[in-house]
Amino acid sequence: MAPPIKEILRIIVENVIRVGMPIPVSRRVVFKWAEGLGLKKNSETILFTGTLYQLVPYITSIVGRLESIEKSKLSSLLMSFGAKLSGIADRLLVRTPRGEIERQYEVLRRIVALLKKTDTRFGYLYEDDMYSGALLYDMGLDNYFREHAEKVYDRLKDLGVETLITVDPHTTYIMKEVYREVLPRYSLKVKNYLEVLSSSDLTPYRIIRKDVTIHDPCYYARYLKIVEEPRKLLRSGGINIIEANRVRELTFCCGGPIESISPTLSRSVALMRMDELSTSCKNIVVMCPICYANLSRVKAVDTNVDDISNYLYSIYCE
Amino acid sequence: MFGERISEEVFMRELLKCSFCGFCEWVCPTLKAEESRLYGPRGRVNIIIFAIKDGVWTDLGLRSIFNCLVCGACNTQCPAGIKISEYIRSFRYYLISREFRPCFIAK
Ligand code: SF4
Ligand code: SF4
Repeated sequence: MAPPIKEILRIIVENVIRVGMPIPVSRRVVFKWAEGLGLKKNSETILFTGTLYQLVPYITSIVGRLESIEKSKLSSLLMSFGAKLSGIADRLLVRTPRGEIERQYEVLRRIVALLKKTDTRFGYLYEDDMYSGALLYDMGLDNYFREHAEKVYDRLKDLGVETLITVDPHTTYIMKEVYREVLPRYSLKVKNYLEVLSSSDLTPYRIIRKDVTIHDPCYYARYLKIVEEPRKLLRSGGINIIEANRVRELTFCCGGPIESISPTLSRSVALMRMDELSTSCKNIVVMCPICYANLSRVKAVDTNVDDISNYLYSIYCE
Repeated sequence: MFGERISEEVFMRELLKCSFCGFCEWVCPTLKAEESRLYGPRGRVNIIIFAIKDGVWTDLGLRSIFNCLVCGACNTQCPAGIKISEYIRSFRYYLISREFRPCFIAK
């Protein structure tokens, strides 16, 4: 039996109202990765993570648990006491693997190192780095989304922010397109870090001769038209891209967006996509933490799923 | 197509452009994973039309609407130019703000 939809929606809303994020983690989880990097807090241009990379290890733990409940014979009984889901989420937070959290933190540190190679000057908001509200929007919780968006925008304006550099497709789409639609007074400029890197004529520090295949995230490829930038950045560093069956505008979703509503269906979609990708090449490049998480949970041992920032760091940074 | 700005008239005006040709189906990930046609874009368009027009509503329909990935693959295929995924997302709001409203998050 699948998790009860209303209950999942209630938990998402409650958490966003209570802690500003869909998962009830401490604020320190959001900005701990940036400690020691010397990023200035006060800056008109800021790196805005939208908290997705930081939250993904926690989301993965919860989804794994939901999936086993969905398969369990006890599921209908458990689901009839849907409120228990909140308790399960709370308990799992402390059991999220340290290595996975550190892996996602490293992705963000590498993005910072790459951006430092460009002329762009940027800062970071630390405890004021915020969640965009992407899940509220996706689930049709429009009034809650609007309220959250207003709070986020007002805070950013109070802090004197004018330009955001975003790092994942969901946050980029929400901050670039949806906030503009929902908040008439919205005036922030939004650039994705791959666009910033691609327009910066970076010189490769080393050439890496490796075959990879690219999994285009739906929001980059179809909604934001960020397709050539990652390819150009990889190719300039010697990477050979073997295109999979469905790429660019016709990319096939990783299944991630429904991981909390239907973890088993989400896994089936990921398996189909993994099959297509790994038939092309065993090195799969992803550009979104949700794609990373959902494809990683179905990958074979001889297949490697890695964030594009790790490749770009190896190419462009010493 | 956000919040209260979308009305039943807009849903019907746009979705009745559907000729049920099924071109959108071959790209839909959830339809490939599930047996029911309701798990594809054409099925979801039908679910919305019948819910608004005739009040026909089932648990399977509800699950299908909330199991859409809003991935937008179907939009690339529709000869009528319907932004299918956007109407599915907006229909979630329509449900939440009406009979499907979870009372504890009523808004
Ligand atoms: S947006 Fe929904 S209906 Fe359209 S292809 Fe994706 S999963 Fe299928
Ligand atoms: S492709 Fe467009 S017109 Fe054809 S069935 Fe799908 S939604 Fe309807």
